[in-house]
Amino acid sequence: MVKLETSSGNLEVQSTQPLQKVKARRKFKISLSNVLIGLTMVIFATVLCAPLITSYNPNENDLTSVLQAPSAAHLMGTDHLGRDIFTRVLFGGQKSLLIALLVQGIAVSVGALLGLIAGYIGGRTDKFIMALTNIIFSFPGILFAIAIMAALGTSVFNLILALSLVSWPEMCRLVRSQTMALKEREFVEGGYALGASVYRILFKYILPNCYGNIVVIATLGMAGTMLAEASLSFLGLGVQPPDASWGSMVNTGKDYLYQAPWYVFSPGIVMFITILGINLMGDKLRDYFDPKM
Amino acid sequence: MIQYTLKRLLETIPIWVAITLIVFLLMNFIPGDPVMQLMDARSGAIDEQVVEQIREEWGLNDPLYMQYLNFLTNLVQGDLGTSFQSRMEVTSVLLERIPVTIQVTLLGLFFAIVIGVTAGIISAMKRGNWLDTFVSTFSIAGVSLPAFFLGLLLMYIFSVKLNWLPASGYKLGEVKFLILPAITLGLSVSGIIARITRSSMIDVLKMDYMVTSYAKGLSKYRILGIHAMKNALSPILTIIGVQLGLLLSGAVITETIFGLPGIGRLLIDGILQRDIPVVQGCVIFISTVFLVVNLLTDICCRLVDPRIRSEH
Repeated sequence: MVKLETSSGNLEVQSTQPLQKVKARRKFKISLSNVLIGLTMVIFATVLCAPLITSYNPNENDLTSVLQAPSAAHLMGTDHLGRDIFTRVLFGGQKSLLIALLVQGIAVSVGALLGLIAGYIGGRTDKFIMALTNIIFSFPGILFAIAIMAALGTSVFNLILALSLVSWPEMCRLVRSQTMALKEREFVEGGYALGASVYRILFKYILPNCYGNIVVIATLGMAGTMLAEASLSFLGLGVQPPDASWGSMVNTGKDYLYQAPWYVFSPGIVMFITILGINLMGDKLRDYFDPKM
Repeated sequence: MIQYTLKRLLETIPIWVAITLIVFLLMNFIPGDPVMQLMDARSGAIDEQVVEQIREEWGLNDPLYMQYLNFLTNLVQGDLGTSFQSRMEVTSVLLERIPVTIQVTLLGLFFAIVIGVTAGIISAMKRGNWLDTFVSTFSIAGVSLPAFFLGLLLMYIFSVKLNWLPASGYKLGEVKFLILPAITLGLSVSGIIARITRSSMIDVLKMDYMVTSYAKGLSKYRILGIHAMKNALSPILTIIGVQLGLLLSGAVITETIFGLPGIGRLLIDGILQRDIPVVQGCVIFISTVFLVVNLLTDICCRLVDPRIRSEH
């Protein structure tokens, strides 16, 4: 290994050993978490190919077969309007997944951009952006999203807006702290010396070094967004009937907990496995990008 | 210490004002004229003159910033306005609902701390052991399980199948109505507490003075309970403070499931009935409590951990 004589050189030499250990550990093992991640992938694939897999219409009522138990014809049974729950879980999953992806896309773009600006410029701009994140963080949990939905009214667009508004600050803080550390590094100074523009320094020198952490936070954030979307829909403030979403299905299903427990459990369990799988994936990615943790 | 407390207080006040401003502006977004709504609710006939009179009386004709300043001065005096639906003072409605939410939240916090801290300490001691794996799996599952689904799961097992506890409802002074909601809340946040406890304990257990205390022949419980815990406490306290806020907002969900007449239920009913003062009051109340709790945990952390005091 090359020994660097800067103050950070020590660190790099030290980190070579644990890295080898990590490589040895990284051999694929059949563990509970890998099985769950695999299961989540299967759920993703099934949800995306929903129209190919099921022949039922998710929103078509069939009052001749109401609240039927799971069977070969209806894998997860039927709901109080005779709709096939399996089909609704798939189409609801499509909606939940799409919303979470869009929200994280917005959160990453806005958060990373503002984080880069705050960390790089510093001073008043930094203070202002940090104050914004502070204010959003001072609403506990999903309360801010609830307030936004209450004010703007329930629609998928507003749902995406509300969830994006609450998810960008975390990304922003992460990118900001990384930017502040990276802008002091030698290669950035080298960039200056070569006459690189601010744009080039931010997007070609600093941002690529944040990718690892951004991916980790975005993955974990996606699990959080799915949870928040489900909670809002459960409270009746998210996806509206007759459209299905996992949260709203559990909401209508809860009135039939006695007669038709599968109504609540089918979407609930699928949702739990999906969110768990995404969280586990986030953890794996963190181990991969930051073996020291 | 007093200086620090004052400084933190001064930092908190602008954030609180910003919260009230945001909530106020958001509530102004709500479509529909509140006066018209009120008239609709009471009788079919609408008298233009009366509407104008009420608008004037409520200050709805003032410019927005005047309305906000009025709102803020009233708020500081504890006046949150009058509910559109029940025509009752929002403050008194809130005061009526607060005990239920506080009971559930504190009971939930109790479960969360007992389960989370114990699990965290055990897994820090038995690092790499199957128990450790179990605790980390449990904690990640806790983060992934939506509180509303957990609540319905518990309701199905303990009320529908075993018939041990009531599924919903509330009676003053009867704990059995609070157990399931509190466990739901507690379990949903105990995972994070376990995680933080574990990592904080592991950091402490690595310290040299832990070896010293073993060498001195102190008992295991004394070492863990007093020497290690005291140093590991401040991150745990911080996370508990943050989690208390989550418990409060989680109350919205548990109260909806279990039919408890608390603030969360009030908020959701307020939203469904478009009762702006009630929604406003609930949101501001919950975020204020969250802000105060975070302030208090910060101060507590400095009290228990002199190392933080010297950093500033």
